[in-house]
Amino acid sequence: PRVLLPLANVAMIDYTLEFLTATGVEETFVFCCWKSAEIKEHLHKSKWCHRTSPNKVRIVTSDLYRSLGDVLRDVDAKSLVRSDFLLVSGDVVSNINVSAALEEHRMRRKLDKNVSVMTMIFKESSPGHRARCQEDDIILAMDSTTNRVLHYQRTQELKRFRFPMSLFQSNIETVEVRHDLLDCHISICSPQVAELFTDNFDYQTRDDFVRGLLVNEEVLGNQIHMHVTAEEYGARVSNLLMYEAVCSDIIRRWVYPMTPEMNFTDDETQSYTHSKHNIYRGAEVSLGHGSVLDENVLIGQGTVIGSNCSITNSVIGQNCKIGDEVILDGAFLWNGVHVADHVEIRQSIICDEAEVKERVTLNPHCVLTSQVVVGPNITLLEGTVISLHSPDEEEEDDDEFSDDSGVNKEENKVKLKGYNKAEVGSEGRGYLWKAEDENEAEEEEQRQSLWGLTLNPEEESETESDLSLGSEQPDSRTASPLLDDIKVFQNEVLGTLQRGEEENISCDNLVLEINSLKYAYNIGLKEVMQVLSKVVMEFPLQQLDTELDPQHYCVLLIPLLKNWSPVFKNYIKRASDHLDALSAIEEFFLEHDGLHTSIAKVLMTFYQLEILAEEMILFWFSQRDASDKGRQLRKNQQLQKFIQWLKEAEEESSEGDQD
Amino acid sequence: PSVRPPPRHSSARPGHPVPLPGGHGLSPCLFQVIRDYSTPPNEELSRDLVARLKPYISFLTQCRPLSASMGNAIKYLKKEISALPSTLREEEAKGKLQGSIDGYVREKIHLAAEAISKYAFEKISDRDVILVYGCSSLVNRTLCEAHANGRAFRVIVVDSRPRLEGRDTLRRLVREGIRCTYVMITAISYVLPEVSKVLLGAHALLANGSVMSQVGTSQIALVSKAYNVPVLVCCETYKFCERVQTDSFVSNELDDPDDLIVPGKGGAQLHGWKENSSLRLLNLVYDVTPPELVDLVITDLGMIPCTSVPVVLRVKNVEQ
Repeated sequence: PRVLLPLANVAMIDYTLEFLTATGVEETFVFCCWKSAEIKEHLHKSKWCHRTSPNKVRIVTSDLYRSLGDVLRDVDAKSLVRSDFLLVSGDVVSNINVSAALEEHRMRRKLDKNVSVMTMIFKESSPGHRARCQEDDIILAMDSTTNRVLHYQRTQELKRFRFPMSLFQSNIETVEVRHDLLDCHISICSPQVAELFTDNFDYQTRDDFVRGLLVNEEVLGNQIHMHVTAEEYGARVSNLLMYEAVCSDIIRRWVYPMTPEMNFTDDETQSYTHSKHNIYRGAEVSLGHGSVLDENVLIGQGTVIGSNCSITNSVIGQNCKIGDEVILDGAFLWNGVHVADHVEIRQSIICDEAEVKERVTLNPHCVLTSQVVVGPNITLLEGTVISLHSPDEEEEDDDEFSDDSGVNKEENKVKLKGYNKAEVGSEGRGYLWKAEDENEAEEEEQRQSLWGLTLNPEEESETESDLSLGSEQPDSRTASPLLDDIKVFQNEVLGTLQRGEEENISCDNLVLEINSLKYAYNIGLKEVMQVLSKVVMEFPLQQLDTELDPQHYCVLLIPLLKNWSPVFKNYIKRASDHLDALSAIEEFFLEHDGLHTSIAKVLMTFYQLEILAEEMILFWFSQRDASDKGRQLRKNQQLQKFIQWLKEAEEESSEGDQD
Repeated sequence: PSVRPPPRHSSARPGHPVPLPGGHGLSPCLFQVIRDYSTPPNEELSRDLVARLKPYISFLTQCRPLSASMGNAIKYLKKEISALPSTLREEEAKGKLQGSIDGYVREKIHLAAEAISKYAFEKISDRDVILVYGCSSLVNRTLCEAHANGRAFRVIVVDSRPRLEGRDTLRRLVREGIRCTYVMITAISYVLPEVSKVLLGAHALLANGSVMSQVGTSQIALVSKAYNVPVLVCCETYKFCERVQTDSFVSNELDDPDDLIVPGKGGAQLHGWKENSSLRLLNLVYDVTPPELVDLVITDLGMIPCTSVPVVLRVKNVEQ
């Protein structure tokens, strides 16, 4: 399980619990969803569940938790907390003293009668700093006198951002836009937070919550505040790059007093001595002749290192065996790893009991999972992941994500298939892991989504990439039984929209209804998007049975779109949503040839209502893998004119922005 | 026509005697002065100009006491002015003076820095650990050039309050890609065991061989001696001074005492020191290192021991 992965040879959850205990928390609820038995075992053995522990740890397990939202809804349902609580994900490493922020939070709530719902904690960190997670990067606008959050946005590597004018036109005089903040994923929440999650059951992550709250602010009057710390350390290990960064920070003693030689878990096997240049050596470590421990090195107990090695910026677990002439730079070796002679490992992670044979070179960002063997005389390219799970074994559901304690089962299949010698070397054992989604993921995202694929989220942790993959996986696997459900869902949505049209129901209520249908029929977000687009497009056709001509169709459709644009906007948020909507529209037009000529007008309406973004429309238009009919569709004159106009408009608007 | 007083130049700003040595800042001003000068009728250029310079110099001295290097520069200029033959026309005389100021700057400051850097380069070897203190343009230049020429060494930058000039050095060195460690002066006994040599800058070299430099330098030299680490001082010859000082108090510069107060959490301890009649805060700028603690002085004339400073001074006087 993810939270038991070692950071400097100590499980991540230990850091989180130590942080909470140090800041004065007396009761902790740990929510697990996957592999909870192991987490329970670990916690029961640790000092947290001891009789004399100042922090009482209770473990709550459920297989139904799919996101942070589910967890908080459960909290509300079971009424587990009645006062302000701290919301932390299980992989947060920090030494922040939250009591100051907590005082502020309580003062605010007292003064303002419970208007402030949540206080988020951020750390000041310059943009591009190593410890800032690229996925999580945010830019926000705040009121610097009251520390209230006014606008919150993920940067997602965009270079330009839009801020609503209302932000600057309001009465608040001291608005600051800040990009130098690192999200620590620590929040002080009031009990209202759990209630709000129950009310809005499409809130899945903390992000949804923050954005929803900021958007609905006038209606509900809730506010979010923030607390910034400059001197203390806080970070969340959300992906492999963060793992590297946080591990180095721990060794460089940024998380003082949680330094390795303090051995705060009171584990006898983890006592280190600290020497100059941040060298930590465990007990019974033997260092060969001529080996140099340069700086920032942590060596676990019982490890044997051969002669003439050069080790720097690395973490080595317990009982490892390292041969002669080995170069380790930025290597993270877990327990029981065997490294043979003349090996070079740079910026890679090697998990429990893996073996690296002679003369292997691992380029940066490689990952070798448990019990993998990489054969002699091979060089692994940058970003290679080798695991014992063959990428073809997708039909099994949960076993796919099992860790390698279930290796015996695998061996049978493996003997049938054999290993690819080119990938892992002549004596190697393992398969090259290829990410399933090749479309939008860039290199780094792939590596990050790797964490999401192999290890499901647990506890109160959830990342955005996990969410999108998580919700797609069950759909693809159980696709066939669901088709009927989708049909029913579609009819229901149609019914809802009809009623909405007749009775003039507001869009918020329509959204609510569609959401409830979504949960009732267990439809994924992507499906909802497509069905919604399809239903709306077909709506005018339902009214009259005869084939419409394009003009008439547009006349009927456009007011509908205007009325229902908030509904669309609610569902179209990410880039993939835009593309889904566009593909659904395309499908519709392909089915109804006679209406081809109106496609331009329809798209124009979508664009003007700001439901679809220009970049997405252009991207969709330029997609090469369209079918023949799709290509023909694109050749439509008016559509091309529209695209042309769009391109020019985009250039103009971007020029305008530069002014 | 009167010459307007020279603008208050950079070395009069409290805080940086070393990065922009007195000569640097002063010479452009003198240049300007001479350019704007025009001889009044019935006066001889040489004598009048010298008289003109007097009020400017006293103005500068009021802003901040003159450093040894500035004193030397002004002495040189005055000598040049007096040596002007009276047969020269005004324009030629001015041009000649400007040329000599330029020459002074070029030779004594820029070329000297190059020469010192070259000499010091021989003293730096691979796998060296070099300790530097505060911010000295000479030392920075030496290290950067040595690194550019391929020497592999490590630097430990020692810093002290209230000026914290070491941060400047750190920034410059890190930008060049040199591996640096940053410590406060209180930690020197922790780092000295692994240091192979100490490189210091100087503000002036006194006639008895003592080195006058940023406060804290004598501490570093003292502790280095205790650990048997060689101490090298880099100093150009224009900073050699005829004064003799045996201790740091007899003539020193006082800086703002309020700088010493640490803005700590929960209010600084020393906030009300002015109200207390028996408490005075002393913030000295310079200190004097005795010649026994210095192993080598690297100048543009070569590498000389501390005790040879009077010889150099004598030779310079003879030349002039």
